[in-house]
Amino acid sequence: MKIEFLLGSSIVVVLICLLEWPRFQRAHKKEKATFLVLLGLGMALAAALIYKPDLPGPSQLVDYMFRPFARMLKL
Amino acid sequence: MNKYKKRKKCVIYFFICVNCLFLSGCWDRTEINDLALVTGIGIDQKGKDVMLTVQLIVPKLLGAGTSMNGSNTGGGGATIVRSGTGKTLADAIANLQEKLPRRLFWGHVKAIVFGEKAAEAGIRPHMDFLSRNPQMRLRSNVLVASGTAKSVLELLPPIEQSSAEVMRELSKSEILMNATLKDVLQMLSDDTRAAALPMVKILPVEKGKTKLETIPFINGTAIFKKDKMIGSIGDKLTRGVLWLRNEIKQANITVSVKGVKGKITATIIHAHTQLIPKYEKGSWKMVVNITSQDDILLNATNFSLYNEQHIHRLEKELARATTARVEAALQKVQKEMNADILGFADAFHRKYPKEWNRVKKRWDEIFPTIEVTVKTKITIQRPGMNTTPQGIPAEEVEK
Amino acid sequence: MIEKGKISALQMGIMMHPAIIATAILLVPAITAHHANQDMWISPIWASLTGFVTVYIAILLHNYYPQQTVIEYSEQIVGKFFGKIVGFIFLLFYLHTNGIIIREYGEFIVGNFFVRTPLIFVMGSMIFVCALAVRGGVEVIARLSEMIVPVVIIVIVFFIILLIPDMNITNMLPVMEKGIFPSIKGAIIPQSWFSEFFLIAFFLPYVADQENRKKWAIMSVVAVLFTLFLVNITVLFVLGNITARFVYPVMSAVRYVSIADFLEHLEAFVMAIWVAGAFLKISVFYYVFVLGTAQWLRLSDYRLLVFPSGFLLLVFAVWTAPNLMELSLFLGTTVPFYLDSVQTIIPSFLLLIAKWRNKMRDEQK
Repeated sequence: MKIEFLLGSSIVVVLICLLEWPRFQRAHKKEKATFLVLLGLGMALAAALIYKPDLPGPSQLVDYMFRPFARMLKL
Repeated sequence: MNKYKKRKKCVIYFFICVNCLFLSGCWDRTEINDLALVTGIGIDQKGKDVMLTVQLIVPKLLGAGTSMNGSNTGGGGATIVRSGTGKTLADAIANLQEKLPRRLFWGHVKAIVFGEKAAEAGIRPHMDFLSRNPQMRLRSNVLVASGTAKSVLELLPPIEQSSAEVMRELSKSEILMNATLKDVLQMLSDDTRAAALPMVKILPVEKGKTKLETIPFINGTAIFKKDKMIGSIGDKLTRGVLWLRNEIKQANITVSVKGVKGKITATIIHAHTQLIPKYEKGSWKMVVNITSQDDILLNATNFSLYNEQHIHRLEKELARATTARVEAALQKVQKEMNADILGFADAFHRKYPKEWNRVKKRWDEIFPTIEVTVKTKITIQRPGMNTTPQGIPAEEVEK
Repeated sequence: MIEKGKISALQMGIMMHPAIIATAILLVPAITAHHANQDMWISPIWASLTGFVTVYIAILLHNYYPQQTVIEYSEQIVGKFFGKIVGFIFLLFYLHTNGIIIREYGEFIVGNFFVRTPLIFVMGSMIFVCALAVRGGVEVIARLSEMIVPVVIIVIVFFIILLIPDMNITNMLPVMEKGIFPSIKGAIIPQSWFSEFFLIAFFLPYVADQENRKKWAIMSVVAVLFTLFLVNITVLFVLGNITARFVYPVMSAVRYVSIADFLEHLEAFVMAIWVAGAFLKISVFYYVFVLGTAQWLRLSDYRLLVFPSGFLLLVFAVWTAPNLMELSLFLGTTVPFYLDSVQTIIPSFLLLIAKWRNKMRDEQK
């Protein structure tokens, strides 16, 4: 199951690369770098989530930060 | 450059093809001929288990029923019933699904019938399932069968397509109680937790027809408290309750005027009931103001209705009869059953929120002690098509 | 400027309507009803205050830096280093919030219609469509909203009219039984949705008719207020004391429509307008994230970033919450403070500093 998900995400990444290839070639260095970094970030996160679905994320951080306020108002 | 354009084209074609997969409706694609359309649900108690009965439409017969085929028994035979048992309703469904080649579809449920035993055992767990299921509709009518729910659902009504449809139409006519799934949920989660549901009986079979060729009909009200049925009242008392709940839509009142032979029947055109709560020094009082405009339906007396005084006497008589009806209902529901299905708690809550919140928990003790005054005012609007009584010589008419 | 398109102030106002409403009528009415009970129709009125304040802040900030979006002028206000941090917070915020929005949309579709369809496909296909809109730029999104929003509003009004026979006005009595507080408490969640009006800070520089922008921004808040008010009062009149028991009260109410035995089973329409509304909402947030990223890194074009960001959004949508209950709980407890602090409190600090800077500059002269 995990392998399939990983494969699926890789296919999506490859498709995005193929689709954007013409624009990518014309783009400046900075844009290329951003493009790759964003894709890599997505892929890395996807892989991390596939192998560890309970990975604490931004929601947990927000929850931790604002919990006292919520408690104060008894929400 | 051309090379990239070609590649781009390929990718676009690929996406178009992928989209075709999505257009078929993904994983939840279901063909209509794989579905079993449920029109009615019956829930019975069978020992400790729940028995679920579903009424299914038989697609082939539904078409044949309306054709010119003389050998067909009208619309009858268009439905079949199947039952399953289990510890809970959901369990019973799983059990039922084993016996069906098609997937059960709940989007067309018209009526939900509780058997008397199931109603007495408590309906809350079933209600939770019924409202949680995304296919189910809050519009479905909820009824209680005297006897088992299965016996009601397996009937093959001569005119309508299914007995569920019969019950839905009868509920909607609002001659007696009418409750949808939403209404029941609201009544059960109210502070009083008392609910009133229509009660169905099976009409005796006419001679020469098979045992199943009849319809269920609404004949009374089942009274629930804390989701358990505690008793039922007949159709007369139900009308009294409907007056109090301001839900009366159709009713005839038949009275005889003092000193005059024969009876007069009036029909309600407009009726309105107002509950006026009063709280004074720890005593709870309720004034019920009933106003109604009636038409004369039948006059079997020799009493001319073109006389103002006669009309006044008649109006008083009608009011007295209505008051008596309402008071009889109060006696039973308020004093004996102690179930606030009349909306008294809501009326107090609205007018005296503070006082009411204080006694909310002990409402059961207070409700039977509320002093109720019923004030009825009936006005007769039209005499129908006749001026003086028909069928007697003019001299005999009492002017 | 990266974005070369221009929109009108009216288009901006129309665009903001679904950007708030689309999810505000999914899970939020149940949470409002839970706190405010029969006063849930008052809550949107309190809630809209945040909307007005946020719009006011965004417009004042825009007056100081008329050619720039918040990502750009925060660098000018608090300096390059802190400006980059503020910008990063905004970007992360819009990425995460959009993840929540996409998840809400997906949960709604899967929970009500496609019970067996994997969530990821529902969300993924939506993101793909949105990505195409975002690549088109701000003009495309604005024109799409001009097309879709009137239909959405007409359908909502149509439903409200169809539900009139089933309304029970006594459900709202007694008004303010426990004083004013339950309705204010019920407003805490919707008011954070109103703080999303800060999105206009990203669109104001591209508005062609600058003189109308204040008018239409305020009108948009009023329209959202009015819609929420109507929807809440309809749900309350139809469902009464059990409103809070349903995950999607509006959906449950619409499914209750039955006119003359044939005008029923209307949930397909609900789904249609919600998909359309959610599409616009996700597109707006998506666009803001992509444009913001490009501006934050001072790129010359944002279009290359659209698809990678979409993939990232999908991952975030999955990451947000493990199930619907936790998502709902998250929305009902800490999310309002989260939305408010990023979209109302940070901008108001920015505004204060900008004011102070301008004063200093004037004095120096």
